[in-house]
Amino acid sequence: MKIQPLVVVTVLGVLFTVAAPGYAANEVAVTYYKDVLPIIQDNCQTCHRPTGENISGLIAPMSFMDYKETRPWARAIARKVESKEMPPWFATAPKGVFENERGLTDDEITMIVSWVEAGAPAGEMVDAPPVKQWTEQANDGWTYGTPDFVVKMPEPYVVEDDIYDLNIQFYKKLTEADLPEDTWVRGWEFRIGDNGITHHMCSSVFPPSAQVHVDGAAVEDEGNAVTGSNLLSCVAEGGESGILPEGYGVLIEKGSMVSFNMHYHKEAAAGSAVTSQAEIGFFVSKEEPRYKVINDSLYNRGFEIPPNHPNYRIGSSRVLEKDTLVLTYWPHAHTRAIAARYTAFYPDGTEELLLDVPNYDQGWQVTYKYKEPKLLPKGTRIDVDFWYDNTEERGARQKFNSNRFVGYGPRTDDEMSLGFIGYAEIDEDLATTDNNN
Amino acid sequence: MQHRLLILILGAGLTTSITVAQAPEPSNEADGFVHVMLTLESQAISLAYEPDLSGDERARRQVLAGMAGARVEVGTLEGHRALRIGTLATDFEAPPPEPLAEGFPKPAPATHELWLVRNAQGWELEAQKSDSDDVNIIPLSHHERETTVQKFSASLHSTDAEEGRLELRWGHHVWNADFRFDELPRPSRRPRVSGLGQAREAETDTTGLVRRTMLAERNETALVFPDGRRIQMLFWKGIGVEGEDYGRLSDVDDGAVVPLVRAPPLRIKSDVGLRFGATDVATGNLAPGFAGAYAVWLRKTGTGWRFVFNNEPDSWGTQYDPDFDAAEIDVDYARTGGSFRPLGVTLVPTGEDAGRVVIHWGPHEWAADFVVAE
Repeated sequence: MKIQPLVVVTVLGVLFTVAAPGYAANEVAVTYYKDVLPIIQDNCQTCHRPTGENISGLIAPMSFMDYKETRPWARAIARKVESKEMPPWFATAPKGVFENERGLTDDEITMIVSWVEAGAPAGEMVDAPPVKQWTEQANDGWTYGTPDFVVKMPEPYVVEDDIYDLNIQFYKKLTEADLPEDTWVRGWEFRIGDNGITHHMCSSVFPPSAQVHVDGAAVEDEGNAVTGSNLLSCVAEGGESGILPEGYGVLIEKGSMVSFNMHYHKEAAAGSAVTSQAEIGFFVSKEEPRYKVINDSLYNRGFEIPPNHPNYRIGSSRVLEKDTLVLTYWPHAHTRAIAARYTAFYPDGTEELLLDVPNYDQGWQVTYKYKEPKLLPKGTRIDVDFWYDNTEERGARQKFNSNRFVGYGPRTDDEMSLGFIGYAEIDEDLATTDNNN
Repeated sequence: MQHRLLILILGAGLTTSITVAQAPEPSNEADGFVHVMLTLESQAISLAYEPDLSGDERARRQVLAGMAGARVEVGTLEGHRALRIGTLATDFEAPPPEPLAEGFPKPAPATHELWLVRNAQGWELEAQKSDSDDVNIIPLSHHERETTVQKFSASLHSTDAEEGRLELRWGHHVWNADFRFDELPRPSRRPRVSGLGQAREAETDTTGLVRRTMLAERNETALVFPDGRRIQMLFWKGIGVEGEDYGRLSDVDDGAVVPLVRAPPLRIKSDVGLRFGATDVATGNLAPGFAGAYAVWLRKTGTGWRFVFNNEPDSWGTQYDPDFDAAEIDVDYARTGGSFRPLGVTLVPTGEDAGRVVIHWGPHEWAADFVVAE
């Protein structure tokens, strides 16, 4: 008997429909309220809302708070989630260890695509989950609740029309009213404002003993190069603030000075001037934390990326002198960077991939935060690698000159190779307890 | 006919433009002098001399013959104001440099004309400050070698974090003088004032900033030929003989390269192709038409040592990847007694288009001769 192709297709279609898990397009109609909104609430609205979580002021360009706002973008949403460009997450490994890991399951992607293919129907509002409450709605826009105290740039600063690329420092001395006593903080949130031109903001705390002068040794003055200062953190496009885990903190001494290291980058043009006045909200620890948090970076600043090179590696390394609990990684580079990787080499000869970002995007300066602090024993070596594409093709997209050697520098047009880590060293008397834990 | 001429001119102009666009980045003006340079802790000393300073003239012959009273001008010395060599020393009474504009001092280096003098007591260099009548004396130690060099040459060798040795060779003579950089009073600093910053354009030349950043971490030795083409080698600061990396030197297995945990490998950048024996280390290895740039690793072999030129010059000392090896050469190895020199490199000119790469670390010294490959 000759089997007709149409029959085969029909049978296979039935089989696939029955066997396919999740949300096949021709199952029960997929609707916005019942099926899509829960996914959007959990994965998109963190940024796609009128005052979304984004400390660089780069609020997502459109809001997805309701059907009316979402429907016009349905096809674009399907494209972005199918290609896994959204939600933005650039680390392919390790999976499941970072608290801020973003991503949709295959089922969720299929759901959204099916919804769009079905014409993006609204469905019944009665099927919708409760409206998600965002913390900042009740906290004057602060993501993690109302800060215990806020430190602001002394004056609003106007980044004038003719500015293309500007690195500039601001300082705020904490008065008795600001901070009457030495205080441990458990977190901070940088709020730059919706200015759209801030490439990065770094902030350091200078205790009274370290307030004399600028050392001048660091190009970007990230703070770790200034003796005695404590780098809080840096945030850049696409980055986000965070609260430290329980038991971790940073000491801010009475009389400290807080720096605002701002890097603005924009087109120099009439009407492009922007006013900036960043602020930092601090959250105070109720009790003295067990671990003092340090933020600094592994670096190799003597590099020269060759002209027109498609895949150039820059490396740096450090050996840990104490048992160390790592909280965060932030690989920081500029427009030529295409990949970044952190690797641990343990004293026993084994190695572990700590972070692999094979598609680095300088427009998304993600800080990778562990769910649980990662213990690295004394003697562990951390290697950090960055790879760069200095070709004409990328230069045309990213607006840089590919026909020259590129070294370490402060402009967005220059490059960097900074493997930031946030960590706490375990004092010897605590090491046994922590290792046992 | 006029049209043909115009086409030729346009064609020549286009060719010139392409050549300029693809030429190595200018590294030094072609001033007709050989320059040897050493930068330790961001403090530079350099010496410039004519490439054909031979012993033909009468005065020169008298000097080479060691005749008392003979003197001949041999070159020009430039140094950071902290340089102390002979009686040439920092003027601590001089007004301090201007406050830092962008974080780094940029004093103009003092220039001295150098005269090689044989007097009754021995050998010395007279260093006459270019814009004054001040003359400083640099006593020279002296010995003779069996091998002779026809033309005058100079080299600068690092011997410690901020110390080094100037070596001059001419005929069968070898002269040496030690130098160091004094610790200067800390420069006045910019007050920590809000609103101070640095604006830059897309095409702002940041090479000075890049270089200062590079030299904040690394020391540099360089050799510049009369036509301006340069060979530069960089080595990380403070890799002494007490650290764990030095310990690895004696532990390295045959066939393996010496890893560095605290530093990247040595780095060479050259505007000219280099030929070591029959092995070429070419320009354009990373970018056609541009200078060559390599990491230089030390490989131990069963019978000696080799230099490995690797196409990842900005990897770290833990990240050697043999897949990127470009060339490998046998080198001379010598062990001297009682030396505690940190890891360093010297580029020694040995001829008009020739030189010697010398890597040293404690008592160990590895060296290889090269000629410029056209």
